[in-house]
Amino acid sequence: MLLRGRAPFTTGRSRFADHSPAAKDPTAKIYVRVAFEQGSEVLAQLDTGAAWSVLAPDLARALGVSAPAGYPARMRTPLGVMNGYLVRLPLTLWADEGEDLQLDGTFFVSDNWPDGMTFLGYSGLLDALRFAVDPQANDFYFGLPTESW
Amino acid sequence: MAKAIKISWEETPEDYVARVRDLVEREHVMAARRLVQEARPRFPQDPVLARWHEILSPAKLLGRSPASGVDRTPEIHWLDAHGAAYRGEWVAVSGDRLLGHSKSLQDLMALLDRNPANPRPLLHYIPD
Repeated sequence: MLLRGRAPFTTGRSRFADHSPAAKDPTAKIYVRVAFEQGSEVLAQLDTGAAWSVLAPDLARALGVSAPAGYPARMRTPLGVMNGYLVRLPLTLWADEGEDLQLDGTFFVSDNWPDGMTFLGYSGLLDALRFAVDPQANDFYFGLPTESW
Repeated sequence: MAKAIKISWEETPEDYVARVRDLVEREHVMAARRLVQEARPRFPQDPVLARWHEILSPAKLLGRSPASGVDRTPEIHWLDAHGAAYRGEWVAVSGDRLLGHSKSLQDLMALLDRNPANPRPLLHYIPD
């Protein structure tokens, strides 16, 4: 994987999709492969500009995640202010090379958010990860230092 | 970046929580973290502050395992070629095969539980 000096900087590499397949608006973005439980691999948009990660409400329902498991919150989103809840969830970042990474992160869930749209945002997820993107090869490199808060 | 708000010693856990919520809703996450860190030693038994501590924590490593990712290029090609026929639905695709589709992700996942696929499918929602 990627090294900084002789030490690992990232520990996994996966191919990312550079558009949302079959979307009417196929603008270039980064969609990485994640799973919230075994067998439920989905594409999630990497968005360093988003304060929080967002879990699609239908995916939350399918995973059995509901408001009592989280903490009520009201968030500003690109689609307006939404009421929902923040919840801590385990997820897996799949690697094609190196190591899969299992971690837990914080997601905002709102029934007002559109179905099918899951974002990996900064606080509570990306701010703990090391990651790098090779846009020529559509490669996403990732790893997680072991320091804790 | 906003700074954590210093609260006088007379304040309660509820006062802290109200300020944490305000900071979170204004996306001042680092300031909210600092405030929770300030509050927890004073109120270590407070369950609401404990939950905010968990919610505001950076992601934590739960485990590592050898790479088991599947190259999804065939699935992406299939979705680009055929996905438009399934707008408003979730689809499950493995390689260049459609395993199932439904407006309900729960129904689709139940179908997949009854008919496990190898390699595991990619689940994708195709917006209207």
